[in-house]
Amino acid sequence: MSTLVVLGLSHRTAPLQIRERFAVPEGALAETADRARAVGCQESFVLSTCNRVELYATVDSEPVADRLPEVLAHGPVGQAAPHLYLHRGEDAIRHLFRVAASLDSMVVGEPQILGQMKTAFDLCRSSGLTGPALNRAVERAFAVAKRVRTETGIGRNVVSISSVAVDLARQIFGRLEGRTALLVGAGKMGELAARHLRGAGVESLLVANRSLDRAVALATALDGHPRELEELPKLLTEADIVITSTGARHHLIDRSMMARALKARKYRPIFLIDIAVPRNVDPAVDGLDNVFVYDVDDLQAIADTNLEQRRREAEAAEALVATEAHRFVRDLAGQAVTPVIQAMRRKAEAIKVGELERAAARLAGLDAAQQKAVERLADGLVNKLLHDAMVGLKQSAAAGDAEVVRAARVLFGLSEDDENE
Amino acid sequence: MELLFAIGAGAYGATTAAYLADLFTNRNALAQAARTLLTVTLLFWAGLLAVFAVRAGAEGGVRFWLCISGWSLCALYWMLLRRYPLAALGSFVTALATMLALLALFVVQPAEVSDTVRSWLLRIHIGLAFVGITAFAFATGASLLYLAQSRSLKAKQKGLLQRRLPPLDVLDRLAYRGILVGFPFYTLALLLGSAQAVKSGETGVHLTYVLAVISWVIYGVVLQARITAGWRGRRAAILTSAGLITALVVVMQYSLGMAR
Repeated sequence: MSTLVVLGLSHRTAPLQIRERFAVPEGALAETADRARAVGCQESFVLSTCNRVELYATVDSEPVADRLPEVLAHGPVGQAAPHLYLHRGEDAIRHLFRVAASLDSMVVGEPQILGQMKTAFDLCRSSGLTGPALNRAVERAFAVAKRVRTETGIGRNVVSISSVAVDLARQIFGRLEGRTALLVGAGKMGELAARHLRGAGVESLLVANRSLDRAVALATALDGHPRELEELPKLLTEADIVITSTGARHHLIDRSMMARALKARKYRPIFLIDIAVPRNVDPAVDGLDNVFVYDVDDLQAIADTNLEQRRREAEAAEALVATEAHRFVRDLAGQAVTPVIQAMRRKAEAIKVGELERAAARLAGLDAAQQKAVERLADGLVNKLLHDAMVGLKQSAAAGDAEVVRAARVLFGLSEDDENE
Repeated sequence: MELLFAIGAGAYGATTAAYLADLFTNRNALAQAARTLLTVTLLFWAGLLAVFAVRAGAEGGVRFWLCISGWSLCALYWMLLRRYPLAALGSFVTALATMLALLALFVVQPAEVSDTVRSWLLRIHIGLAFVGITAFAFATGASLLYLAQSRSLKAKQKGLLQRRLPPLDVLDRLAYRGILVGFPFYTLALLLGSAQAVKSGETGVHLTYVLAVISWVIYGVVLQARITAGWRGRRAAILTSAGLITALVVVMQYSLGMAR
């Protein structure tokens, strides 16, 4: 009876320099999984992201599992050994379900891991490296991940500053398509936020900087339009979202400038994201109606609150995953023991029929009713002898005890052919 | 019939309670229950109004229009719910429908409708006025939610309400469209009302007429300020609410007058 195992390392167990040594490029995932087959695994698939490298496989003996580290390390494991983890049976299933549900991710609840896992799995499956056991387990992991996402709020709130800014922009403007954003300054954080807004659908991006050359370079990189910083009062009438990230020691946007711009824009709402330190937007600007100013602390506070909410939701998700993993293992064990029970019953039935045929001549003197009674006696003996054994087998299988199933095969003299009949 | 109206008003009340519970607890099951309750209530009222229209005919008068206004308001909301996350507006809309249903139930007695209601001019006047007020009620609801969302965004903390409300831009457009649609109906209603007053030889200035003109002026100012100066937010919400309250006072006075 084969067992599912997972061998790997992740952001929880290994630093980046170890993880990058083990990282497997997408093009080599199937090749690595194939090497696992070469050392004796029946089925295998490899998952490699920036936060984890894992090999999922089915093995039928411990020596095979012991050789998995060298498969993942492309040779001797060396000093990386303490960073590796190996889970078997139900623990491996639970780990698989947790990873798919993003409970083991660096940012709990992030949605990318499921997509990465699907890609890796599809690659290995299309190469013929997976089989019924892994297919069933991974498909169930995807279903559990979907349940976790819909039944808990684990993915409800965004947790990075840029994502929080996009989320707030959507809360103000709804769809961002057709909106104009203005990036003031050429700071890295500002650039990142602008990229995020662009990705979220912002149609037009204006880039204003003290140095026009730098504005032109950044605008080219972001597919935007460069502007002089002196145009700022006019630009405030055009843009819906403004990101400020200059190194200026004073406020670039004060209340009177904003009030004038607001009147010119007919009081259409404007969202100011001030990620500069010291701040580029006078806090008094936030007192104006239809102007929403968020500085870096405001955004960080929301991100922290969201993260805390995700952690709380993760507790409910953990319980769901544990229940699902246990149920899956129990179902799997039940399926595995069925052929053994069927073979036991067929063998006992054959013995009974054989013995009755052998005794037929000696029982010839009995009338039909007496012969029927003998047959019923034989049936009763077979059923009662098998009953306890079958119940015990089912219970042991449900508890994940594969040894009892092995013992039943030995005690009843069952071969693989018997089970496949 | 009275019992059925009472049940209908109770159904609106129960829906309001469900929406309020949903607003403050944010439980999916409650949101679903409130929506189901709203659907059932709308179907119940649709049947009730059909029967009432057939049985009462022209005698339905103000009572019929009060009920149809509440029902249209909820039906419009029900349709918008399919497109926008407007669950937070549910308690406002259904509470207003409850109020209109109670007004129809306790204030207006169909058997006592005066002869003036039989005038076709007056019937059209009443119909147009109620369509206008229904649209204004929706605009007020959207304006109040705009204020709530705006305050929530200013508070810099993502609270329960902020997550339940649609974006500011959507609320702004709903409020604007509500007034844009309601204003022509209300204007026509006022013109026909004046014509009816002249036709029936009424003299003197009634408080009802004054209030009706005040509410019309308020909505006219909101619309004008919105188009020319871009008024939105707090000032627009306050004026829109003031306009609705004045218009509702007119409705109440009118209903009482009809019942005399």
